[in-house]
Amino acid sequence: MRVGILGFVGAGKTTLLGALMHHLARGGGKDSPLAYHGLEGADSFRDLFGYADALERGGWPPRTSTSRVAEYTLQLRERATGIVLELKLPEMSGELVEEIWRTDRIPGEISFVKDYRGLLLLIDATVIAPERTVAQYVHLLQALKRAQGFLRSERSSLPVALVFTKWDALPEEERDAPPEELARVLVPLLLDFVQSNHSAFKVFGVSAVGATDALGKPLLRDGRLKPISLLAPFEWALEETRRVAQPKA
Amino acid sequence: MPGANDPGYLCPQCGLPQGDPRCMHRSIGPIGARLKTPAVGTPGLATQLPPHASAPARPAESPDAIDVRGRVVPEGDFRITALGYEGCGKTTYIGMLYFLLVCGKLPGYRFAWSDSLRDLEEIRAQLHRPLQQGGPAFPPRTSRDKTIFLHLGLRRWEDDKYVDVYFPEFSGEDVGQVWTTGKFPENLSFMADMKGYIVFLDATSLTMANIGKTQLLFESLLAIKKTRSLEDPVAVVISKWDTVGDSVTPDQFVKDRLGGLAEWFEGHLAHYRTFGVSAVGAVRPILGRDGRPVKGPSGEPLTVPAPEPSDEPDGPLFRYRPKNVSRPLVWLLSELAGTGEPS
Repeated sequence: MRVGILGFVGAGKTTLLGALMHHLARGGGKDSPLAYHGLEGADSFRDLFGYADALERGGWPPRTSTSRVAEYTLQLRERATGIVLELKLPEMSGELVEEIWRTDRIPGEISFVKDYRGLLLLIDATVIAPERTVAQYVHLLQALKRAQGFLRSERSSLPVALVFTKWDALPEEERDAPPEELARVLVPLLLDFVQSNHSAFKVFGVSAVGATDALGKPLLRDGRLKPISLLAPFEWALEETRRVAQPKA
Repeated sequence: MPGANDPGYLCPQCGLPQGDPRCMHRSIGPIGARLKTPAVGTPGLATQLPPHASAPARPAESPDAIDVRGRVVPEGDFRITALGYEGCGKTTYIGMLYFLLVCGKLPGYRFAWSDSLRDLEEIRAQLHRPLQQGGPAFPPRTSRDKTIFLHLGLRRWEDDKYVDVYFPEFSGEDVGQVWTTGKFPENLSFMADMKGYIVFLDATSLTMANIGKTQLLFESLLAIKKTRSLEDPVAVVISKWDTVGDSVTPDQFVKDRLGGLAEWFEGHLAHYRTFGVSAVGAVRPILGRDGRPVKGPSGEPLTVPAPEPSDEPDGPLFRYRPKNVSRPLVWLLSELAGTGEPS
């Protein structure tokens, strides 16, 4: 089961993966139905452990290079069944999203995105995304749905979650509201699209690091980050992709 | 030094001549093979492009690039198209519909799809152009070599029905054919499959010639539907209604100013309703350096949208006050569903 993580520029894809790596490597998630299973590929080991290391040192992972096309793979295992969920983080630069927008083609070097069985789309909860950027990501989701052979009037079985990052940085009253309410305010076009086109969708609010210090760096307590709802989107994605994969009775 | 497509060009990586099938280097490999490589993903779908709407073939940048272009093939039971000549306000109308969807404010419907997102986003950007860049503007009028279709797919909250709405921007040639022969060109014959129509009449440009052209447009529609009386619902939109004011109703306006056309509607349209619509709410003239209104080629004063500046710190730059933008569409869809206009 392959779940792709896509995200607006600056939404925190790298930080989320680094925090997840850190969380799992330090034995977090014991209460979660998901357990760390492994990584695939030297790039994944080098970069994801590198990002986790940067966070543990109280810094942020370096900004992702935009010139590369890569795909990290992090594997999670469902404790109860042993089913493995592969999280795929494509290095998808803003330039590539722009290219798909401009040409109506998914370039060959990233055509693997059409094979994902679930998608998590990361959005920074603390900034208002420009309308054009929102439209570009709607276009990207349209492109993926079309590449998977669906008609525009039918719903795709591909589960899609909108994941608001930096949830800890929101004002308290917004943090207490359901994430879907924030989506209705910040990205109504995207929320409408997902609700209209995907049979399974959900909106999450997560914080990869949980809190930041006065200097805006990740705040560690006893050497650990305290992420908020970090595993929730992944648990949901596993559940949904498995439900879709099950043959109908 | 010969270029990649010149005879005598050798691949710098393997040294094979240009076009040699053994050369596997994709950026410089056999041109024919690259062009013939089928795009992955969409063959056989109902979204195949009819010949009239096909875009020029473009070579893929790599053999397995996936073509995800939109196709003009209406889906679902509710298929609607707009009709009206250039400058009648169709493009601004669909731009404002899209803007309402971007803000999540189209009553009863939510955004589902658009095969024209780039174009709609461009129209939205024009309507919200910052003052420093010249301020809000209408979408530019361009003469087109080929009829194109702006598209919106919507879903109704109430029952989740999918709706395709097309706004054709006719090419000069296609307009010319309707005007000279009274028939839709063969390449637009699929308009006959539509189930509802929104027809635009520009309140500021009701010359005899334009009235005649509009009536001929209806006659052409009846001809491709092979009928003398249209059963499908038609929303007649009097655009730029802000220039008329609220002293008359749209029905009264049509009877007073377009009496013959109103009679024609009565005799040929089984279900129609007239709406006064202003997509942008208010306009102002463009002033030249001498302070006088700038005039267009036909002597009409050129205008730009005149929204109020918005005071929301994080909101849009301007506050538009569109009038009745969603009503024709909502009425039409209710007619198609047989539910009558929602209260």
